[in-house]
Amino acid sequence: MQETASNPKTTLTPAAFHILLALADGENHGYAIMREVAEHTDGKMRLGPGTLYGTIKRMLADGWIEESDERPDPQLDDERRRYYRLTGVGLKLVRAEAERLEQLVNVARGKRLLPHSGSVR
Amino acid sequence: MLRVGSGCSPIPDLSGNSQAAWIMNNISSTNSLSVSVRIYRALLVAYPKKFREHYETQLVQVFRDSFRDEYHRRGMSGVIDLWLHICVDLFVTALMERIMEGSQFMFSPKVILWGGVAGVFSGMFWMMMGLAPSTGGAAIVLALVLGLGGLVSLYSRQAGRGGRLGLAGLALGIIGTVLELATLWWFVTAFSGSTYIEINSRIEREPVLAARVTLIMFLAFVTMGIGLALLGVASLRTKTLPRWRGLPLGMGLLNILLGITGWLIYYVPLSQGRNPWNPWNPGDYVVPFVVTVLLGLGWIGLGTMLATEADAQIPVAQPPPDSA
Repeated sequence: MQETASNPKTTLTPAAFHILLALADGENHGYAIMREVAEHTDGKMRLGPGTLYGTIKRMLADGWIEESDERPDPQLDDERRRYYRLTGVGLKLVRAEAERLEQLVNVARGKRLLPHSGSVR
Repeated sequence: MLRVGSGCSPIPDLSGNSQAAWIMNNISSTNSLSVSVRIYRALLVAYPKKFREHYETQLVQVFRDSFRDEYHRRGMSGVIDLWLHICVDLFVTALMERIMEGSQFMFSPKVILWGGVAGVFSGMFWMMMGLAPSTGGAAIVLALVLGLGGLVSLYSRQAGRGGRLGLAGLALGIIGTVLELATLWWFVTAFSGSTYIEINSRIEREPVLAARVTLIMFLAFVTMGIGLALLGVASLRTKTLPRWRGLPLGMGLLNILLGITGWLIYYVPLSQGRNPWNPWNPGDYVVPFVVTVLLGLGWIGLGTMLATEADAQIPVAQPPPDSA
């Protein structure tokens, strides 16, 4: 089943959300995305190469990300690397998902499952 | 701006024995890296060809970077851990890619077109069965087999948006059809005869068996009907048919009606030891014949629509509002 970016009911898989998040502050290549995801999650989420490129393939098809035409300087990095960046739709989706998660965190705070922001345990 | 940087560690500023040890270590890492890359590249055959052609270089590159990183950070234990992770990732994602490749074929316009054509022919045989009951056996088999194409075409038209409802509809439709074909075959082998009188006498000799077979036969019709009705509801909800959106649901209900009337006309007398075919009274069969003709018309209409509009775009919902 292929969900399209224009479907408001689109739900992001954890891998897709983390990849979009990793691309939120600029274009990047596959391995750097993988490392950033591992860093963001304290190593709890480890994307394998297949998960990474399978998700990238679907996100490219759905128009959430696009491949950058630019290539790195061959002296600084491998020029065969492909770089990816967010599209407008991808940015909307990652923002909407972040807001949804923020709402959930607020609910958890309201139920005292989490400390209020700024408060000390 | 491109952010540059792989996972490669630079040569550390060491001297004497430490540097020699580092170099030896690096040689060993290079050997195991090249062997590992070769193995990983060979394992990539698990992915569909198209995916491999497009991403092989990237997959290998990421694997190589991960290997170097793990080796420099954690040594052989890191490499073993990486391999375990890679094997699970490769197995799961290769399977997913293969399933997706299959489903892409399933949702292609070609499947919709030829399935629709099969649906039209199925409709013709349904009508033949209703208008000329003497063609019975061959016509019903052809109507059912070709109807499978129609079911697949209808499901394919939903392009996966029918979700579990559509999938359950397709599954029930196929199960019902196969069960129907199997019981027809059972009925023919159990009660075959060269003349009408011979068949009747066999049914009268074994009314209990005949009742069982007909019960399963009409249950199969009901199952098919429920499947078609579910596909119809999924089509209605997803608005994936360009017009006559209620048609598959109506056809599903007709199929259920056919099962119920068949059960009343054939199963009930057989279970009481009477042969519903003897004496043959055409007046008793008006309802199933009318339903059969209507089903035929439905399949012809639905099949024609599916075949002629196989390439038609499915309307999509509006994009989410910008939350910025």
